[in-house]
Amino acid sequence: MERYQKQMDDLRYAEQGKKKLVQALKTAEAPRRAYRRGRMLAAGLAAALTLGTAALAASPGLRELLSQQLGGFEPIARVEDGAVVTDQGIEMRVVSAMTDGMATEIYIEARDLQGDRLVDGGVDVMGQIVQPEADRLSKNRAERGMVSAWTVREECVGYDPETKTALLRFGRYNNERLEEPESLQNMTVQISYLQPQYYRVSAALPQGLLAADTLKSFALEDGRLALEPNQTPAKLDTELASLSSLGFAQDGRLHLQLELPAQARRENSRLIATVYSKRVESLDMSKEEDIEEANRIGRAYNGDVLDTVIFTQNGRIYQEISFPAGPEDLEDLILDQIYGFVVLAEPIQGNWELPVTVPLQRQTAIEVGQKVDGALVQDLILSPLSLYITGDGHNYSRNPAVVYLKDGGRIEGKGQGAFVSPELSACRWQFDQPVDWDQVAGVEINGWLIPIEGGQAGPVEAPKE
Amino acid sequence: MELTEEQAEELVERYADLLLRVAYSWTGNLADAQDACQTALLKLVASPRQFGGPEGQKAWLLRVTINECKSLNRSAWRRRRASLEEAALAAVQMPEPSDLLEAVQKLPPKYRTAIFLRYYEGYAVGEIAQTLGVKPALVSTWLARGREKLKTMLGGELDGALPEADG
Repeated sequence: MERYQKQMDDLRYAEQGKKKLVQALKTAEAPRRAYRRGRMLAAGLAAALTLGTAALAASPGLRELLSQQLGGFEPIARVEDGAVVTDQGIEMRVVSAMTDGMATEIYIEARDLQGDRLVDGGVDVMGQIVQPEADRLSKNRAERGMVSAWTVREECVGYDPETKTALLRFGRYNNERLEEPESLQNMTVQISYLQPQYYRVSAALPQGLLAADTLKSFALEDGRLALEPNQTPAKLDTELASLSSLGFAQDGRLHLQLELPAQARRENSRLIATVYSKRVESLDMSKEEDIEEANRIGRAYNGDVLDTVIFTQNGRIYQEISFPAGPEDLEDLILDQIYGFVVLAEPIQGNWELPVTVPLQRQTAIEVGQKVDGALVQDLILSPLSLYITGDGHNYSRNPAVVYLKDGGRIEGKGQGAFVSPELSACRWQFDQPVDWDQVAGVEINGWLIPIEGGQAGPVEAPKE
Repeated sequence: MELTEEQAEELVERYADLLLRVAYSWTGNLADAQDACQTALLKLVASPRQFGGPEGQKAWLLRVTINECKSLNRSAWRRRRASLEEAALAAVQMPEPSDLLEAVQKLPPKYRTAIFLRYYEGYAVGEIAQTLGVKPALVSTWLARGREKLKTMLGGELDGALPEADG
């Protein structure tokens, strides 16, 4: 074994350390160093939040999952006049909702009344949160030639096989504040599509199989060339695809052929791969000309659009991708992974419209007007749910934001992306527990500290080098 | 989600040493490495999710651990905290000091971690790129430059320290 491996093997937890770690995991205890997590809300905020009628998940099995998802927000994720809508044998029920006027998150349970179509929660969902006032604002911007400003998220976060119920999450993140955010409290979740048994795939390809020889090929019905299956068969680290043939076909191109499960839906499944170059390793990615050369090689090997075909032979389903790279490039090629998704069931198309009334969490704007990590931060927009920063287009949200409390506590906000346009730029972070901004001493972004005192931002402090 | 003793032990046995090693390769600090490892495992426990298989779960944990390391390293608040390195040493077994490990730890964090993932975990360049959230070409550059710097620090030869071939 190489020396480096051998020496790194010797770095490990002692038995005492492992025992402490086991106990920490059992009690879900975060690391305790010279700071405390700000778990407890200040008395003022706690009194303002009412318990009692917080929506509970109809599915007991998902109740705990929803609690974990909501974290410290469970008491305030209230639903008033929540709707239940059934279509195509699927009952949708709103079980949680919260908004601060910019960030909105709504959880909905989807229960199969007719069977077990949702199976295991590998469900892709298509839906949206409709907010008429925010949509009107966005339309006004579009009519003035400006970019509209919101992002969305929809996903299945869990499944209870006992009650055949999936827990769905819908998010909408406006990047601009409304003048009257109270209007947002009445909104609608529109769902049009559920795709059960939708599985993401990411698997390494075995190395050393690619050779310069031309493999046997045949013509498909549309005239395109495909490799004869099973010329270089290999298992992959997934049950959703296996390698069938990998090599150069008679068209002089590199072909990657994968076999999909027998029940895969051809029209909805898609796996892709990228061909990389060893030559690029010697390029200097800090030089413009080398970046252009790397991009040129990337296009030469992958083309602008992947050439993909799915066909059936002897009852088996194959997906094949062909790349412009040829045998002359063999020594330079790196093809090491497939990724994408495989679908094994029919979609469920329906019309579910659920009106939701959501209490508004107070949002405050603090003017900063100072440089942080080389770019201008104009405002901090704060609510118990989220932190937004507006500025000159720098994306700080790749890293967490840290909120420091006056009592020494610390709450970390997870970066959720940025929206950048000539007229409006905003980065967003979300918290896993409510933040009482009256108790905040400072906000740290990329190691830069913005102190907050009396509702105003103080001079920004740079990190120590 | 509450874990049983057995479930927690299984998680720790499977991942703790690996996450400790990758976190140490990034932070160069034992106490921070343990924090990052514990936080990553807690995040796995706190948010059940589906993976494509055991390798998917491992890849996710590595990404989360490295993100946690980046977060710890950048904090301006850190300089106000007392060092807990002594307490951290009691929980961990360290390798014997060596010129090779010392040289690796002198490299920039990105180079160190790319070298760890390549030569210790055997990850391909594409996998390392996905774990670190960068393009494969950049990983290749880090590996090449890391090896060159190590050669310089170790007097011109890697000589059985790392494999000769890359890619």
